[in-house]
Amino acid sequence: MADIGHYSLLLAFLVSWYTVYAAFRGAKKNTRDYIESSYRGVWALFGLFTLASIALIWLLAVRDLNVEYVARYTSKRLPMAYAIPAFWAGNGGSLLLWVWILTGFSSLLVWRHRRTDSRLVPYSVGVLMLITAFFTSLIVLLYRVDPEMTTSMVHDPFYALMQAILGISGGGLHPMTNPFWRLSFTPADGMGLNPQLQNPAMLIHPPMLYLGYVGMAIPFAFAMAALISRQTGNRWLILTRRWNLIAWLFLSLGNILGAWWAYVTLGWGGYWGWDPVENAAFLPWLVSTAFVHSAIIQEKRGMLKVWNMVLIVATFALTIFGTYLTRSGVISSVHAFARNEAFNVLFLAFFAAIIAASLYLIITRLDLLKSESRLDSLFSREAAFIYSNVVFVGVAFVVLFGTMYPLISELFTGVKSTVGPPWFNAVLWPLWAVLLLLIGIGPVIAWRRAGVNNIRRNFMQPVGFAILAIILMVTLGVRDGFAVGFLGVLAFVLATIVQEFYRGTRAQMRVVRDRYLEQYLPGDDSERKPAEALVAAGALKHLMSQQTRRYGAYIVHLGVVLIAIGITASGVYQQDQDITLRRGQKGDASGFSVVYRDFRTYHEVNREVTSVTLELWQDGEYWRSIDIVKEFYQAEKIRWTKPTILSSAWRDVYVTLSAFDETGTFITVNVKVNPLVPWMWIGGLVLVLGTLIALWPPSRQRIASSETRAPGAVVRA
Amino acid sequence: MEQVLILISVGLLTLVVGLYVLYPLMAGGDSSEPDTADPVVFDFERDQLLQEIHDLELDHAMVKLSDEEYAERLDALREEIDHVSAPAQPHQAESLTPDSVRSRAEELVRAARLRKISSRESPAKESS
Repeated sequence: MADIGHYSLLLAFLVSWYTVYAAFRGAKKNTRDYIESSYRGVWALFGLFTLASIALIWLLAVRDLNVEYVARYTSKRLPMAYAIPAFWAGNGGSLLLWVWILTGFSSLLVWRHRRTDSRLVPYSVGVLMLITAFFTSLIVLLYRVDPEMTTSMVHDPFYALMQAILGISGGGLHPMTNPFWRLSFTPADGMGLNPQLQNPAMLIHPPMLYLGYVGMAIPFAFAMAALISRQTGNRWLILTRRWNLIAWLFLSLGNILGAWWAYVTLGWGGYWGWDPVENAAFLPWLVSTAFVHSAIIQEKRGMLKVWNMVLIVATFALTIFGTYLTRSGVISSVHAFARNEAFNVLFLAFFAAIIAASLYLIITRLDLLKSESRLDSLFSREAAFIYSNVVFVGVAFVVLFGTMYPLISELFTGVKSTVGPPWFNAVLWPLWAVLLLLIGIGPVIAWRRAGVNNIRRNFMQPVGFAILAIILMVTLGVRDGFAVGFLGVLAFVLATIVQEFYRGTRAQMRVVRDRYLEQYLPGDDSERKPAEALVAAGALKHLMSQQTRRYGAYIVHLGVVLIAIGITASGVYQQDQDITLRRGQKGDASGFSVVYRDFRTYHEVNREVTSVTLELWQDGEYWRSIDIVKEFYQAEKIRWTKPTILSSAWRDVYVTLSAFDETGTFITVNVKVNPLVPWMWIGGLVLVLGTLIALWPPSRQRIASSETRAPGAVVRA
Repeated sequence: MEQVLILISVGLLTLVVGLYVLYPLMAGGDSSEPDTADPVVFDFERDQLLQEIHDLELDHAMVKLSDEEYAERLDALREEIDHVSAPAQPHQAESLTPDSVRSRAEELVRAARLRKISSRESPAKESS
């Protein structure tokens, strides 16, 4: 099986470079045969990477420890379910997953657009295959000279030939990122998988992130194709609108699942630690969110063309940067760079090449990227979108600086300094507040110029609702100024969303009523009243099906509001207390009385588990009994604290076993109460739902029928 | 024996993939892009403009636009639709490739918008 995977990769390496050539030649000379050949190349590559991936999954599943990658990331005791996450535990598997997904997306793109009569598609295929060829070359060609090997120990014909051509001496050629490399011996057991990855969330969180990272290559490729072919109108933007949203959806899902995984697995009671790996996933999300918004301005007003190009290049470059950051380990220490020099140099060279080539294309096409409209007023929807773009990019810069700070400080001072969550939170909260405010303002403010009447008409009720919400919060005892301010802004945003749905439905009700009610229910008022509710429901359905993008976006905003409510409440009102107890003893922590009842240890397949039984009492009454555990993974020699989380709509009670003595006489327990955290996950689901609605194509019937009707006949106030 | 089997398998895989990918070149024939534009190939641009009209109508219905602004922008969009639709005459179709038609459509919309900007700017310059 290792040979199947290995030779599939070698063949893919050749086909990928050929496909780059065929696609660019076909696009440049406009020759159908080369274009068709490049499309077949894409499908063939997807087939080859699928074959290689199946081979790797098989090797991991049967624990073929003769394969270095399998020995490094699995062990005989590792449960079968976690053999799959081992696929992306190391560089070789991660890069294979990258190209597998990329060629999968590219195959879909070719299948979807192969009949599209535009050179944008073959040029896009050329760009995508260039990225594929780079990653495949990295997998196949990257090597180090292993002094513990002799040249005769390299049995594989390809690498033996490479060794001979390169004249390697003083050791044997050892591929660094080829997951199918066989060892010259078979170890008794593998090194095992990091326990952090032994969690069901790890089965889906990394693939979601990779789908998002890799998905961003599609809009980037179309943008480059538009620049190369000088077709810089809106077509590339519209062709990639769904691709961009799909990638954004996966990035969002990856980030949300990452936060959830950290919360339910890591045991520190938080969901976001501003860790470099988290930030690496968050950065492209921030910039691509800015792009999603500014693309609308280009489509509607023909503005921000250069800015959109810059954003899409930045998004893709950040996905490459994110992949590099997570795979190189360079952020943990600059010394990791030297340990893995070839990998680092190649990745950074690719990163620099992307930016240089993109900037060259943008600069040489500036005359084609001129704005077709101008900003009429600073109080308009365009302006609100531009402000939100500036804030998104500002947040991205802050996160990038904070992420790179350890590297920068170590590079210039020799001492590694870090900035932790307090720094990020302190710098970012004003930006978040402005951003949330703009989420409320953007959708309701008028295009081009908002007059006093427009502002009064559209903002009076949401502002009134926000003031009422603030009064209510203060009356209920919320005294923290930060919480009151943030929740007030969120109430405003919520009110604007509700107002949009209400007004949109009312506008549609006239059409629906005219069309159906008079036809089917021409009776008296008693009959009409129940029908009004049906009309409203029908109007909402009509509205949602016709304006999927707009109302999907409002639902996404609703999800963001729910997430922000969870973050604000848990950030300000979290209770956190440690308590040390003797067996049978009762003590108080975070508003609960905790009784230590039982202590036991037992063995699971790959770990030793220490379990403690506690009783939780609240307000003098017994609430429930729980078990909290600490695990020791033998193969990996890592101890792991797993939290027990008791969720309700209003709070999570988050309990962990901090410490214990070996006899179980004393234990230290940590109890946290995290208010409204479940709403973050609900908000995440709402965000996903909204994105799916936005992705849904609007009913074409309305557009088609309107061609035979005078504009303005569809909706009238 | 195992090595021989691997060699044969790899050879076969290479052959199949190579034939599959290179088939369009070996088959020959259709080497250029002869497609001509459909007379109504401007539908893409037109669809976008129609969708914009629907958005505009909804915004107007939700009182986000004044009646004057609504009328002005509706007229502008109608004008753009006319521009896009005008060149799509059957007698022109034979000389147009899809790409050139797309470019032309985009140019026309862009030109209409730029004309509008300059017409707005000219009176302002004159008055200053």
